[in-house]
Amino acid sequence: MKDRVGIIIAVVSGLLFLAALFFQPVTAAWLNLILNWVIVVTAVGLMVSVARLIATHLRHIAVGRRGFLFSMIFIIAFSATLIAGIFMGEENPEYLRWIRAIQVPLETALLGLVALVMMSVATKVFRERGWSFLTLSFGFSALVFLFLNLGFLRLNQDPSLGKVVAVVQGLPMAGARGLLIGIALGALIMGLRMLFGQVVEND
Amino acid sequence: MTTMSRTDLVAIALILLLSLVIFLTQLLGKIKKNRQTPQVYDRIDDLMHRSSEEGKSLLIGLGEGLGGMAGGIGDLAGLMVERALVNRVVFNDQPAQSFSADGALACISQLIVHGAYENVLASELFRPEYNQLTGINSFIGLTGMLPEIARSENAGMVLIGSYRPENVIVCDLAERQRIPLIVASSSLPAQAAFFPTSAESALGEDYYLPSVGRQEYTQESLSITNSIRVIITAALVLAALLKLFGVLP
Repeated sequence: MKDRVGIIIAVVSGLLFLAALFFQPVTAAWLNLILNWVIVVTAVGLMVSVARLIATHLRHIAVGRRGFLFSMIFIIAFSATLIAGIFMGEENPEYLRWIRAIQVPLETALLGLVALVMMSVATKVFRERGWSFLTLSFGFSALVFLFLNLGFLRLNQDPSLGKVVAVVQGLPMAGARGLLIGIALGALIMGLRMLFGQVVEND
Repeated sequence: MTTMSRTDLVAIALILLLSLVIFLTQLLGKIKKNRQTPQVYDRIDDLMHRSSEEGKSLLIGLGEGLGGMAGGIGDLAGLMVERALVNRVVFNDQPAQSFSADGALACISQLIVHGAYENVLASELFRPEYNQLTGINSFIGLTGMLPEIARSENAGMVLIGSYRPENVIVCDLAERQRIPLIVASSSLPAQAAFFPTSAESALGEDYYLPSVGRQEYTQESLSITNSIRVIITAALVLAALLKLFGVLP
């Protein structure tokens, strides 16, 4: 029964929210109010999670868990950012410059690494997945669109070839739409089944 | 007075139709369990057994949650899998560990993990670190997860939720560490990025059919999806014919 009450509250709120979404602008004020509640609750959730993260890292340091040095670096970096943010203000240009000077090179390096990993993974597709229709079409289409979008071939200069290229370039969009219809259906069914409280029967 | 656009009306019609099909599927009784379920979720069972036998930990990545790219309720599919999974590995030598890249998702996930321990009257075994926030966005979440997968005492990893293609770096690391990885992402670009890796990955709407062990939920969802597909196809063909004969503008 305890479980049912939670499910009933969730279902009723979900249905009311869905109805309010369609009956705008009459329900716009209510929707804004609920959205504000969501934002506040989400922010509190984030604060709780961050506090728990800090507590976990402090515990790692206290018990000397392997890799606790990283926990120390995290705690020091977090404290420095927080204290600087509180005293200088989060909009302070100097503070933002410091943050960017650390964040941008780190993210750029990570993106570079991701590009290398993606390239390495793409070359291994046939070894990992074998020679099937799916892998062949995946590899072939990847090559075709890579060459087309590099711009070296300049096929667009010939009007008749340009039309063919335009059709070929439109194919991924057509394929994506087909997949997106399936995904949208899946998402809708999952959402509605959650709304009707059917998900709990999963296990 | 409310003014509904044509899109709103189509959306309402679709929701009503889906609700009707869902209830009809329930009313008509048992679904024939002969549809092939997505293999990706079947492999989770193998990972659970491996985790129990080897006494190693199972890692569960829940993605960016509602803070992700699309921000839909489907991005919370990982929570359903987590619930089913954690319930079964509560008494393993090494507990399962969850990672979220969103504060709210981390909180909900903690409730689920704590609930799993409470259900078996073993609340004292629960530790807050079984469930961690790895970051507050995709990139930070990714970097927070890398050191965890690099540890040697992992039986496997399950990534289910909203993931970006950049997470292919996790697949690469798991491959190097010889850790079995199961990936199901709600994002199409991410699905394409994960496809060439050795990880078991979900394609298309397979992501929305999560199941661990018992597959009633998946079988029902497959049945509903197929019925709706038939109805939508018939409606599209009818609309095309009506347009062809000039009935529709």
